[in-house]
Amino acid sequence: MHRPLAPRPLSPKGRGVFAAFLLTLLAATPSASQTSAKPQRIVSLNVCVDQLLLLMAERRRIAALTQFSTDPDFSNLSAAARGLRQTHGRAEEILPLAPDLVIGGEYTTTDTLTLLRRLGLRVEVMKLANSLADVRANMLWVGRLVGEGEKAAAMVLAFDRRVAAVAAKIPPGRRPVVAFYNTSGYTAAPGTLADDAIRAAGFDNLAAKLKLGSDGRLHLEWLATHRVDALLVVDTEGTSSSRAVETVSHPAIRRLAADRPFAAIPGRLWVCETPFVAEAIERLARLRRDARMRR
Amino acid sequence: MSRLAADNVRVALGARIAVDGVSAAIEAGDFVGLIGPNGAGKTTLLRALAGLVAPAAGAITLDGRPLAAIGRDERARRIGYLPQDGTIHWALPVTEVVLMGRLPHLGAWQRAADNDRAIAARAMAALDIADLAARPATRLSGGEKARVLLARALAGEPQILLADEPVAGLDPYHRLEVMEHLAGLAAAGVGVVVVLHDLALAARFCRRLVLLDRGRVAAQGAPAEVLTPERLASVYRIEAVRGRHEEADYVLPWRRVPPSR
Amino acid sequence: MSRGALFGALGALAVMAFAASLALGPVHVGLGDILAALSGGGREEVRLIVFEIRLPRALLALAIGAALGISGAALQGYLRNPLAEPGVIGVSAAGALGAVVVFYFGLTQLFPLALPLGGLAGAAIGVWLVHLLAGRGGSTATLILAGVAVNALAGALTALALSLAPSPFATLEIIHWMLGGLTDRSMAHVWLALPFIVAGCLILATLGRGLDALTLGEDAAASLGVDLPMLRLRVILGTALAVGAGTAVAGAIGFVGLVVPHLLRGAVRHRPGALLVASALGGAALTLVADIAARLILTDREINLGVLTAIIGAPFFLALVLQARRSEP
Repeated sequence: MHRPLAPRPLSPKGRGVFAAFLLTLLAATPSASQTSAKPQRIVSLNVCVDQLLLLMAERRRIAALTQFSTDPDFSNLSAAARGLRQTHGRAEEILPLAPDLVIGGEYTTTDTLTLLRRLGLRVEVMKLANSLADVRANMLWVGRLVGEGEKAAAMVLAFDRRVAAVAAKIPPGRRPVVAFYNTSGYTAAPGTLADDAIRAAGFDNLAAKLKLGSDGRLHLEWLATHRVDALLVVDTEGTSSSRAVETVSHPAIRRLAADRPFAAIPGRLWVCETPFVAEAIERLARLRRDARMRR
Repeated sequence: MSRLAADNVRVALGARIAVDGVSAAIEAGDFVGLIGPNGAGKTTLLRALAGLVAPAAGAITLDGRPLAAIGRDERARRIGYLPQDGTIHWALPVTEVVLMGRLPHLGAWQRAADNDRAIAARAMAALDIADLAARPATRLSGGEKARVLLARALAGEPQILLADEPVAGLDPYHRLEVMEHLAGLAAAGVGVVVVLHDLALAARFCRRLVLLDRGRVAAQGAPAEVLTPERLASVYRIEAVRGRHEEADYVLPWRRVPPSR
Repeated sequence: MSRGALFGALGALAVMAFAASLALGPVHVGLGDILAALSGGGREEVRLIVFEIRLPRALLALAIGAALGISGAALQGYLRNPLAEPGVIGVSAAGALGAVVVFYFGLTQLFPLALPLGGLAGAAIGVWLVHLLAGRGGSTATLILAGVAVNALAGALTALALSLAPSPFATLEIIHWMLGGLTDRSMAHVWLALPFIVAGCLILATLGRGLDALTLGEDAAASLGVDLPMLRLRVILGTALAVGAGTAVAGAIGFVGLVVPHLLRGAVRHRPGALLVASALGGAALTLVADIAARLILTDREINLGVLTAIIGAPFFLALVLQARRSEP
């Protein structure tokens, strides 16, 4: 795993920057409305925001990303993130960077965000994406914040085109049922982004058919008895689907995977509200086509 | 004829030497009282004789063979040990407690047979606790518990019995009862060693006394020879009253004596 | 009740619980279908459910329950304390640490069974540490203190590993596992853990005579021919094997070793030796029933088995402590 840059103790130069920042704080009047100038020193506290920033903003305007930005398990743009500073999300690391915009997620430590606000920084929080509509909305929201509204709109347009292309190829009639099974029965529960993506790919989600709650889990036994036309698991090694079958350890899953279409999908594709969700939907669509052909 | 002997034995407890240069022996039919002031090393010597602690120097022998060379089971069959302050941790019925005395006689996976139960019953009858057979062991009075534990030791049918203060905390009736039983055992051919604080009991019932003082043998022999006024003063720092009643001598501690040195 | 009758009744209870564990689950499978599957025929999906999903769980619940029961009885007999538990000597915590370390370095993704092996290694180190601290002639109090020390050390290192976890998903996995459960365990886990559990239980089953003699205290037991150092070694080794392997595979499942011996003590007339086998059978039955409940209480997910045993066991433990205090003079 790429070692994140360690925040250094304040050098004389750092101290100078910090002093300048404090003077700026004292001199400036708090501005409630968004200024026309684009933020020049943006700090991200969320791995989804990391990726959106890399896609939309110029590199020199990104002051720091999270320590997961270069982790290929979590970020689709891990290569692109190399070379940029990283923080571990602590106020002490963020303050010396003198950011003019800090963007966190709903699960970013509340204490940290509160502290940063008290110290006078501008802190925005991106809502959790639970649907494709949320994906679009959040991409536009980030675009507005960083002053790249046009780029964001173009991204959304391209995203919509890819999703529509998949939708156009969904045949009428009964949709195949897919079961997404993660360890301990975690699945694409109804009301989550994964569930929406599964439907957009032309599948029926087993978790939805069983009317699970938004935090419900699948019992392994259900996979054996309910009609399951395709099986989906999480690809944990970034390898192709065929190798991923071996990483699935439970014999029951292996047996089910042996006689129906099976795919492993990396979590990073559809956990965040990035254009890569379209890639997840395209992969799911391929799985759906296999499932249809088998019947 | 069994003979358990300590030969110039030294026993260390950690850094302290509790017993040094002690030689003493017990034979079948003997009734020996092991006496001495607090801290004289009586319990340590008894434990060494029972094979529970190995001597640092000297040897403990049973019929001439070193105790360490005798198998654990054989030793357990032939030597019975009754610890001080006997505890019974679980509320077993009294019969089960007494039956445990038969453990050394049972094979590895053998359970108590009718023969064993009969021997246990006899031991309980001899100590007059047959009616306590079903009572949970944790609900016994001091006197009852002492008799139950003694019955356990008897059930093992040992050739040598080592008892550490078996009458501590008992009322006069039960003290005399236990000492009479032990004397009866000796008369029946068992070699009995008893650690006692009660000089009167020791002088009255034991045929021989071994007096320990600070880890060494101060005197051995018949009670009259051992419990001389000089010895009582130097070892116990007391004066005693002596007398005779019903053809037996008695010794009664009477007064403390300040150290003459 | 004679010993034979008691063991027969408990054994029957365990067998019935085992059968129920195969017959009951989140999917309703008819008895006829199950019997067909067991005799080699039946529908494919029923065979899958019975042999790959329910059978491993039933076997593990049986084995781990027996291990927890017998080791609880052994420890209570050896420490002469009715509140003793396998967790006391630190084996469970050490096994948990071993598994957590494997999580932390991501070895589970390399090799799925690295997790149970890590747990076993942790339990073995815990055993070695306790033996090192308590020595060969140390008193019971020393053994308890050694257990407290190992628990503290294992707990601290586990907390450290948790706080340094490389990713939120690793933390979630660790926490799930620490709560204890048999979700999605397969026959692979059974083959890994069962030999050690069986070996440990067999070692503990030989302790009957020594534990009976210990009722009278260590000196009296030694004078009755009990080899005390060897007894201690077998207690520690048997517990490490039986409970260590179980913890490695199923996480921390507590209180079974406390509750079962306590409930059965009266039935064996307080004899520590007889309590060993009785507690093994009773522990197996209890754990099997708890695992069935864990699967059926909620409809859309499972309750962790360790959580269930804790919710029942902790109040029980409290009541025991209160009872012990009341009977003190």
